[in-house]
Amino acid sequence: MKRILFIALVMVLLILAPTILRDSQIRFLTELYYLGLFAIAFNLLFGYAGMLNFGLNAGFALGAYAAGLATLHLPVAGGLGAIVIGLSAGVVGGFLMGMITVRLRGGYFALLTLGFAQFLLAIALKWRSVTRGDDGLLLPDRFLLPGKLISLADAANCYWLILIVSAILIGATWWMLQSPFGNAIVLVRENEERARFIGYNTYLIKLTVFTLSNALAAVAGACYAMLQTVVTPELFDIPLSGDITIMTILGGTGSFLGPLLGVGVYHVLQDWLAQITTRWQLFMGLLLVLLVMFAPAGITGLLKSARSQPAVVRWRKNIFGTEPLAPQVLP
Amino acid sequence: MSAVTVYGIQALHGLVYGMLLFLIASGLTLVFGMMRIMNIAHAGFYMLGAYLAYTVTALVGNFWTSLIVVPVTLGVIGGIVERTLLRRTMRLGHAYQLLLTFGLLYMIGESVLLIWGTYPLEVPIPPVLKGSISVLGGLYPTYRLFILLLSGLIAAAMMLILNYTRVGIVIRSIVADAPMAAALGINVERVRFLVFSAGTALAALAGVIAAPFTQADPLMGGVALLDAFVVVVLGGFGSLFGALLASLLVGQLQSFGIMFAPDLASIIQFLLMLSVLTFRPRGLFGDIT
Repeated sequence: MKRILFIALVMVLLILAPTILRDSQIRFLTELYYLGLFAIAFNLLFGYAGMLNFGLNAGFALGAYAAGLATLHLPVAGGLGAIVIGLSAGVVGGFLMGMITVRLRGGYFALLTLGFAQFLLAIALKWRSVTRGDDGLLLPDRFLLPGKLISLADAANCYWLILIVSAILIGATWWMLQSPFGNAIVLVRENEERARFIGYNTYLIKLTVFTLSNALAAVAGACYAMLQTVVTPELFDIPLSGDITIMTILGGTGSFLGPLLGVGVYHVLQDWLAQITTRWQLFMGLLLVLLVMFAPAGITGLLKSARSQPAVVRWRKNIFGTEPLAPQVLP
Repeated sequence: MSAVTVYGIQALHGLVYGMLLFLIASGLTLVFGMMRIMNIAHAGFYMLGAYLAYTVTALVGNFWTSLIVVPVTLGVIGGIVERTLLRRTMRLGHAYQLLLTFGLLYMIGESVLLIWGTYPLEVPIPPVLKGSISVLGGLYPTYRLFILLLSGLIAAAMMLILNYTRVGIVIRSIVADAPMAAALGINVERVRFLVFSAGTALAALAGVIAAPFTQADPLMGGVALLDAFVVVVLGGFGSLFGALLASLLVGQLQSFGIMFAPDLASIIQFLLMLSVLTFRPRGLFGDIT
């Protein structure tokens, strides 16, 4: 009950936020929301299902392109319609990619998903008549509803749209993870063979999680398109994949909302580093190396152990990383 | 020019690229066989090799020095990476090691941009190897034939070492079953360390000899990464012979792909990898799944 009240309070504050913030600040927060959704999608696969997807940006980019094309060629749909179309693209694309990729495990899976993203990158660059190649899609004025109602060029409107869409989907993901299906996902991560013995169709479970994760990423991508108004092939490339990976690991894969924390910290860090040097990604690479070495459970892992253990144990465990890396099955 | 000349030259292009790819992929496949690590940073060392070749050649004024100095330096750095980073993260599992090497690749790529800038740098071809030789009724650049010769020699030496020497037996035994090899008294950690260093040095060497041919280019790492992984997947993880055949195949595919269907070259390669991973995940010659 307390938790629900707390979440409701936070939501009310976030909804009211645009009334006192400047436009640039509103945009900054809006970016956090769709990236947060993207990170949750990544962690649904990596943290819960134990599948490292280096090509989840393919889902994100598919959603962005679908929403962009919808805005350009089907203005009747409106912004909301564009997001729904992005979602459908994510579901279809995720399902098709998943049918092939989830058969593989570990590094092979990571590699093949990366390969898929590169494959789609090649298509986005070459299929100029639809994607406009290198130049990408430039979106005209966007409206939330058909008939040019509620302009999304207004930062606050866009903020509310993306906040609400992200919040609903993150909530739905949480709810799903509490269900027996959520436990089945964790079971497949922990011991796929045993899950099969018990009678679960592990292929189907992995395919479902993969599709859902891509669908969430696609909605994040569609929101990106609505806010940024440009969709370029770079979304299919490795840097975006790297960003989302580092954000998630930074926040911590061991808790549901950890990745959101990672997104926030990463974004602030990036903003700050970009002012100092143009090669800020150097430090992000270093950050990833340091995280894996010293804090594989991320910030939330550090906080969790700080609360529960004496300092000496904490030091030893954090330095040598014997913390559980993945979420426990929640009560 | 006759058809034989045109196709022959194209096949030769493919052969040169394939052998270069083999130098990169051989280190990758051996490291995976020994440690089960997919070392994404490997392609970074290849790129770093090319850039260091540029700097050393510019400083010393002699390409041959860089051919020795750069692989040795980067081999040592590779060894340090293995000892300080990878060995300590063994227990975290493959996914985290993959992330670690990914972080390293990020760092290498950004450092290259920071130090050498975003434009491709030209490394001069050593004077002895300038010009062309007539091959199959056409002219072919001497330097590319040199790449072929050198990489062919290295490939032959590796095959001999791996198949006919004691060192080779030790390496193959670890690839086959590391705990058993350790039980037989082999110092698995030391062999892993040495193989990792050697693999890194090979990638660096490939970068050095590629530099006068392709220029030192900030994008070369990413390109090599995907190609080398296609090779390793195709040939089978841990199989040197498989990597050799797959490199030659990918080299020809690239070369003739660019000739006949320039837009589809990268896609064909991906489809090849996709079908192998789907129908025969261990690759054509590998026995590790």
